[in-house]
Amino acid sequence: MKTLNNITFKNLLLNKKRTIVTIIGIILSVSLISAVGSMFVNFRKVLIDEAIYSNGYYHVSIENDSKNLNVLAKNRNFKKIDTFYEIGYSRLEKSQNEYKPYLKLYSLNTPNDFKNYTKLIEGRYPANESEVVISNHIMTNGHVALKIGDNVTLNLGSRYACEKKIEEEYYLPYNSQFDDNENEICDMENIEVEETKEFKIVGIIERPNYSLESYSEAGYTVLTTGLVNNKTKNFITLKNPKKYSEIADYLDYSEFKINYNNELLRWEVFKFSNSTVNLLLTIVSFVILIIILTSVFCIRNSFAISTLEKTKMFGMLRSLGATKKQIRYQVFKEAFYLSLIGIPLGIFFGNLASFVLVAILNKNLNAFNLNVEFTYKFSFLVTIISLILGIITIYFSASKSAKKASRISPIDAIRNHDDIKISSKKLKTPWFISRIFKTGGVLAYKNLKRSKKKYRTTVISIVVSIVIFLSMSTFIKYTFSYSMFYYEEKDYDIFVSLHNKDDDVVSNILSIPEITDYSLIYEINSYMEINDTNKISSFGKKIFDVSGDTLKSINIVTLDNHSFKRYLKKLGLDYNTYKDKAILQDTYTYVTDKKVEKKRLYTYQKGDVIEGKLVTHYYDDSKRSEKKYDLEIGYIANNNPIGLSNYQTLLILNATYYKEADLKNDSLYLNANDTSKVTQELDKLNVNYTDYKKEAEDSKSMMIIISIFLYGFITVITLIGITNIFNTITANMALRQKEFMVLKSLGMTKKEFNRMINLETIFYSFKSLFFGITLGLISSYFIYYIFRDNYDIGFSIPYKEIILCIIFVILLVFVIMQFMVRKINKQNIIETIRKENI
Amino acid sequence: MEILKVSNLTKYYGKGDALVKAIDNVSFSVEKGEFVAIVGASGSGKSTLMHLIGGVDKPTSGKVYIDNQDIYSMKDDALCIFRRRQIGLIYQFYNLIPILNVKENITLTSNLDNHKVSKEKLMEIIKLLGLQDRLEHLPNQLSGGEQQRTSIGRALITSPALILADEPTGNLDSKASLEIMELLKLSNRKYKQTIIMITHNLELAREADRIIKLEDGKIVEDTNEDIK
Repeated sequence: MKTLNNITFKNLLLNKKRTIVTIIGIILSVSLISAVGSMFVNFRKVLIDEAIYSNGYYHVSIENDSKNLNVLAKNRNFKKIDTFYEIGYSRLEKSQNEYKPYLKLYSLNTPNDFKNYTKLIEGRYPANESEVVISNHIMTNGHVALKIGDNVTLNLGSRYACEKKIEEEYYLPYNSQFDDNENEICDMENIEVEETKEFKIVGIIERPNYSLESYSEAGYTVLTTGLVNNKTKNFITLKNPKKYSEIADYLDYSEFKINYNNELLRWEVFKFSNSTVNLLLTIVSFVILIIILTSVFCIRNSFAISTLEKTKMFGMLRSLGATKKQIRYQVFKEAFYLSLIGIPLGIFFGNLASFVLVAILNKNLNAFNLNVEFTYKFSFLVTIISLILGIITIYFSASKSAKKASRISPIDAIRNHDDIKISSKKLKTPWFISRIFKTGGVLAYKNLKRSKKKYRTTVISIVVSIVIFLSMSTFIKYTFSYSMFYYEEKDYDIFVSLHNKDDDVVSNILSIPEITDYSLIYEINSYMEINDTNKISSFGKKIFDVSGDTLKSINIVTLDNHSFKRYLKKLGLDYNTYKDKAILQDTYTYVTDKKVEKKRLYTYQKGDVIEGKLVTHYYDDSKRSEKKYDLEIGYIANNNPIGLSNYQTLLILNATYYKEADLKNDSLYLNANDTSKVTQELDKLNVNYTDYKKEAEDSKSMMIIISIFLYGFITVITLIGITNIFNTITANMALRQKEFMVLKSLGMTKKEFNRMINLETIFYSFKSLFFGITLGLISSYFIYYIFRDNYDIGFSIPYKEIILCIIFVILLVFVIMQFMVRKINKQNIIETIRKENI
Repeated sequence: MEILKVSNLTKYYGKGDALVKAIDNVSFSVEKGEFVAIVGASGSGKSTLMHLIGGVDKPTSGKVYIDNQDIYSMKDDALCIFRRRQIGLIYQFYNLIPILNVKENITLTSNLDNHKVSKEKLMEIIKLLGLQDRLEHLPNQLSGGEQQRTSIGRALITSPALILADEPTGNLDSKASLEIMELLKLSNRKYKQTIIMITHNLELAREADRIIKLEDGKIVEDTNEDIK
């Protein structure tokens, strides 16, 4: 056995090139598996870190209105319980947020835990029950001037209305007569004061996360320590987060209100909806499957070639008395030596890649909207999985060769029979090949036809690389266009909600110097009720109810003069002619599985007069009015002004000339040359806005990052493919050295020889390209089909990518073969023939 | 007519202490139609000499004239073309092209020259070689003797100036060996084909018209000289 081991080892050293190529193949695949696993771990960690940063580290929050905290304490899965005692509400005088007229006082009696749930901006946390920290949005949102050092008196109690205690967190201003449950509230809320306490403000915190202060909470959070009350909010960390759902099984719903910290649980224990889990699992499995398949393919090929090259040797060994088992062992031994080098290096490079990717991600953090950075974390689990998968991959690759090697009979080796079966059918060479390409072409053609198996691996490698490349490119294309579609549709940068804001606010906003253009839309609070329902088109009647009631009314929207002018410009209409005209936009896009229909809902024409009733303030009974009205249609448009969805059917009017409108500011659409400066000013003005430009940029950054990952993945898979192709081609050429030398000795010139090789290259490149592109197109269509449900931009053949494939494949194969030809041309004819005969 | 002239041919390997004189200043000539056997012990240089004559190896010094052409003054391509037309090579291990059948292997050298072989000539050679029933077979489907016969056919098809056979029966049993020798003698007599054959088998060598014996890269015996 020792001798045999020596032989294996010596062979590896002798065939350095083959050995290195195989090791490279192993490194590539193991590093890919390792990198994918490691990045998954890193992403998970950053998402967990982000969840902890935003909400604090807890798994479940339980609201409890009784004294049964000991019930919670008994649970064996509860690692830590942080109890916030809800001491009470206190009216916040001068709060300028009508939905938040209170302060809400909590007491956390373990002061060390404050930092887990809040972020201190200034000062310090309270040390005793006469100190408080306040949320900074009391100042920025409620516009009440409080600072560190101030003494505040809180009249604490519970909220009541209609003599009933209010349990809901949200506040309803007096002029809303009904709450969301359509219950009439009979009088304004008030606080029934239970106690009055004085506090000193010692610190300011950021607005707490929503689990402590929800978005609709009526009171700004104020925190102290050392007080207790019946009502509690308990933040619980679990020993075994996986068993989070068991809590609900034993706690009574009427007493305990349970909320899960989904953001944390989602990533810690993968608490997803089933469809998300399935989707993620599918993607991950698919990715790993591709990696393993490609790797097995490449590495198996290496072993096959290596075995083939050693056919004579194995045959000789068998003739000398080596058993089948011993020969098999040789191959596995070779695999073992190669793994010894390849796998650890693969794991190293995989982790290195992961480390580098984390650094790249941290440079582009804005894309992710995260408060925390990515950190590279070495994962033993991933390393072990990579190791195991690597070993499995190599084992499967080597096993077939091992079996084959053990089956080599001594006589096969001695007789030098070609290992691969050559088809012996009578093969007629097409006339044009011999006519145009002469003998070289004939030889090339016959080689292809009769030794198909030899080329099968090369062809398949190329095909697989092409299919993956085309599929991934299509995937990226659709992912990009989907997001571009969403963001490019918007022809404005910032949307500002002006609900209940008066004209001062609007002029303040419009005076921001960085704004380049705007569109102001007043509230839609009136509509035209048409008399003649025959003016509804058949399409309209088909889409909406047959009786056409829905379409009997057409909403009216008014724009200010500037915005109306802008709209006219968009429609290509002359301002002076149309400034006082009504524009009807009634094109509706109806999408079904089968088709997309885009037609008008009415049959009105330009110049027609809509006869009917004008109804104003239709949502406010006290102001609602109706009158007979005729409205002349100045123009029929097929798209709406900026900011209004084209799905809305509207009559658009200029507020300067249409006097019926009640002008209430609704929304403002801004274009700006520096959106961040504009948003800074908007923050000061206390308006709600959405910065679409930033969102679009963030989305673009995200797309760039996703493409880095995807293209990185494609690159590695392609590298594995290239390794494979290089391997097979060089091996094939090497195995045919004797044949080439014989041809040369018989009088084939260099030129003729080169021509033969070039033709072979062309023949099987084209074969690979044909199959690869065909399968690649099918795969691309399949990907389009998956995306189609969400968003259909139609299937387009990826011409650019196909051309890239063609150029790359031909170039690659050509370069490799030329490299080999040059090598062969340098060799001495007779020495090669003799060597092969030994 | 002198078809081959070898003049002061040497082939050295290595330098200094490791210098090996494979062929050491060999000169001789062969007339058209002669059947020459080159004999010698293992390592005497006979294969090297044959390869130098065939233009598949390069001499250290000296000249080889085939049909009055100095083959080592030719450029690579010219030598290739010359070789395919004027030199037929028969190897000990046949060296047929594995993807070509018998017919294709035989016509290979002609095809390299874009020269279509006349059907009559082809059939004649095939009949001579007794390969009528094997024309569509691939080399891995042939016996050793059949493979060697195919390679003889390949050498004969272009009616070359010279056929060089390196131990043509070395890999065959005695019956097949005799068959091959008969074929070589037949083509020598019938086509006036000049044949130079390497062999270590003196019995087979005696079938030839002339025997040249090599020892340590030098000619030590030449029956022609003796006769002279």
